[in-house]
Amino acid sequence: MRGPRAPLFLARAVYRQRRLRDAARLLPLVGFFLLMLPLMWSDAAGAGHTAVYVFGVWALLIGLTAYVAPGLAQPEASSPAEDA
Amino acid sequence: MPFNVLVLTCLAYVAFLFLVAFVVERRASRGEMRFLRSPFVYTLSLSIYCTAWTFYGAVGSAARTGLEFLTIYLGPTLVFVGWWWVLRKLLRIGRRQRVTSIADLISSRYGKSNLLGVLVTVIAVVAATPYIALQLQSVTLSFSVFAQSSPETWAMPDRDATAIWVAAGLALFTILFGTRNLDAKEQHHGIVMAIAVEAVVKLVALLAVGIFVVWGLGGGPVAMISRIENYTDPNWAIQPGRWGGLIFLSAAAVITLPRMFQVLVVENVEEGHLARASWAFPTYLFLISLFILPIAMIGLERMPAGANPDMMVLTLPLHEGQGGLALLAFLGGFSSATSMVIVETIALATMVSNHILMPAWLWLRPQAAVSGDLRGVILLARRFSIIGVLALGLEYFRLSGGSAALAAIGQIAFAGMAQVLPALLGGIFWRGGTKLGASLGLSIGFATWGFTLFLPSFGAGGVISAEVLQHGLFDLPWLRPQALFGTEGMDPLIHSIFWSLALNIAGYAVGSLLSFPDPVERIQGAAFVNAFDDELQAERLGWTHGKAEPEALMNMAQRILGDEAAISFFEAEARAQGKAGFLPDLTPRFLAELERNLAGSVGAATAHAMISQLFGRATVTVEDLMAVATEAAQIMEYSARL
Repeated sequence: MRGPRAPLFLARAVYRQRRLRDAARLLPLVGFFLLMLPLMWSDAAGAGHTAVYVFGVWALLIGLTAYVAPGLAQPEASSPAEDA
Repeated sequence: MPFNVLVLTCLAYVAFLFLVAFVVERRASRGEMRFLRSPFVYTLSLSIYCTAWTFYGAVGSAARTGLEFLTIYLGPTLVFVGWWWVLRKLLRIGRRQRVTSIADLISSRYGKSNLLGVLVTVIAVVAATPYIALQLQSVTLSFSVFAQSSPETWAMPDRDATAIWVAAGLALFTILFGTRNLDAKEQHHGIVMAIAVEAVVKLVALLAVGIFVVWGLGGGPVAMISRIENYTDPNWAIQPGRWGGLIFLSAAAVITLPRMFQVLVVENVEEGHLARASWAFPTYLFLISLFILPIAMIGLERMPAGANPDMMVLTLPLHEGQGGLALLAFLGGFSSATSMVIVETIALATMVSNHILMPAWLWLRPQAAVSGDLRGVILLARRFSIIGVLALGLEYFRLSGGSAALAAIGQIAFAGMAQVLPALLGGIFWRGGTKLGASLGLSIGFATWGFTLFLPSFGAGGVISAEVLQHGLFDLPWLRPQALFGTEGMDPLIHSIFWSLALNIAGYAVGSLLSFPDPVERIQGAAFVNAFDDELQAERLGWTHGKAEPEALMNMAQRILGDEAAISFFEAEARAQGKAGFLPDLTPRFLAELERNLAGSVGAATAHAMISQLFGRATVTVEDLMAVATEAAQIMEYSARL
């Protein structure tokens, strides 16, 4: 019932899309890691610097998500199997 | 500023919101929905996450504990940044299964069990009660701020009276626009647009106060940062347990809160909007948090000691003689509180009427299910639920005395709703989760939360006596509400989250491992966990949820195969199933046979697409459509040659 398999030259695009999804899955973990870092800092670090750091991480996460999101919103380029 | 000007502005603003909701409802009913279908409206409607707790409470929280307030916005940011994990699946399932609330989702996943629906509804209502009280408290507080600052007019309005007026106004708005008619999808376009407008108002208001504080009073961003850097307060040190715990808690809350589920899943008009919201909503949170700390900082410096830090967004501009700015801030706070209460009560009313009132009504009057129009009864049930939910919030406000810090009240509500998380995540990622496990986990978690956090929140001697708080239930020291099993060193909030979720997950896991799911549960479990697997979905749709009637299939088959052939095919199949007449049951085997039969005339892909269409669009993939197009082209070519 299914149509013919995607031609070979598409493989690269499909591969990229899969890796993009992997990146999307990794992002919250990266964010969590970066946001836990201030806990390891000594008390000498004041609230001002910590705040600048946290907002910086926040902006970075937003930027990366905005970069990745349009590619993810595309319909799936090939069969729905999630393996690479 | 005169107090009556404030009341007038407030009324004008509310009238404007009524107008927006009304116009949008009108246009939506005429099918003009273009501007509603924008991803930005979706993102803005998500911002009901930011309630009066954010608008007023965050500054209070920042003044008391420094950076900790950020955790409440970092958790949702991580959830949205990681939308590919949970939100995408939740949205897909919600739309496929036509889920109307979080209680409906849990009940549907575990074999459409109404027991679970009731359980989740009760948890949601109890957890929302302090949260609604928080909104009423903030509006009353903000009214009294203006009343105090304008000695020339009325005396300070009665606290309870203000709260009652506000609650009554909100009930009216919600009933008018939330229960105008019954929509099968439970979507309320007018309200979504109104809260999108309110989202803009609260953001603009907070940014305006922030810009005034940083550039007008603080001497620019660099000076501001060094001021914060040099401020020393032992309470401002980050506590690792609370930092991590609150990020987790807010992440859990953004998925499970009834109102978030309502705007995120139920009111969603297009799945693709989530991709935009994945970064746009965190941006909204970023902007709204940006100036909280500077406002708190300057407030601490300039305001007299003892001023309520929860009201600094309002009192600081007033103190500096900026009446207009204070009025804008007041409207922002008013927006945050009202939009939250409206959507929360709609979400809760849907749950209460669908899972508690309607089943009870049908149980009392079983003949009503067969005869008569139920729509009127359902709408009435919704309206009573809305009033009931608001009345509960009002009562909590009066009982608790309206004195606690806003953030502390909100955290209690978050922790209560987080109890749904194990059953929810387990339900969409683990096929082994069962009804028994979910009921066990939810009830144990709910009871633990009630005992360790909710009931103690009424104060020692309130519901739980000081005696029990000190020495434990039944004088057992390991049953002390704030030191279960001897864990004395923990912060009370983290203690409660830790134990309630640990016991909740344990109950869910053990109950699921030891029980055996019934057939409906197993089908639903597979449909939820494999929501993105189109083949399985087709199979499931084929024999459980099919909307297609045998007659419709018969009609279609007649048009394609011709009358004689179609009838004899259907009749033969019906006889094989042991049925009289010519309409067989829609078994997967029969459907596959029919599809093959149709494929002989119109091609496999078209046949599949046609059958799929009768069972809802769910099963048609892009590939199928491509194949249809190719086949159609081939047929045309073929007939051209003839």
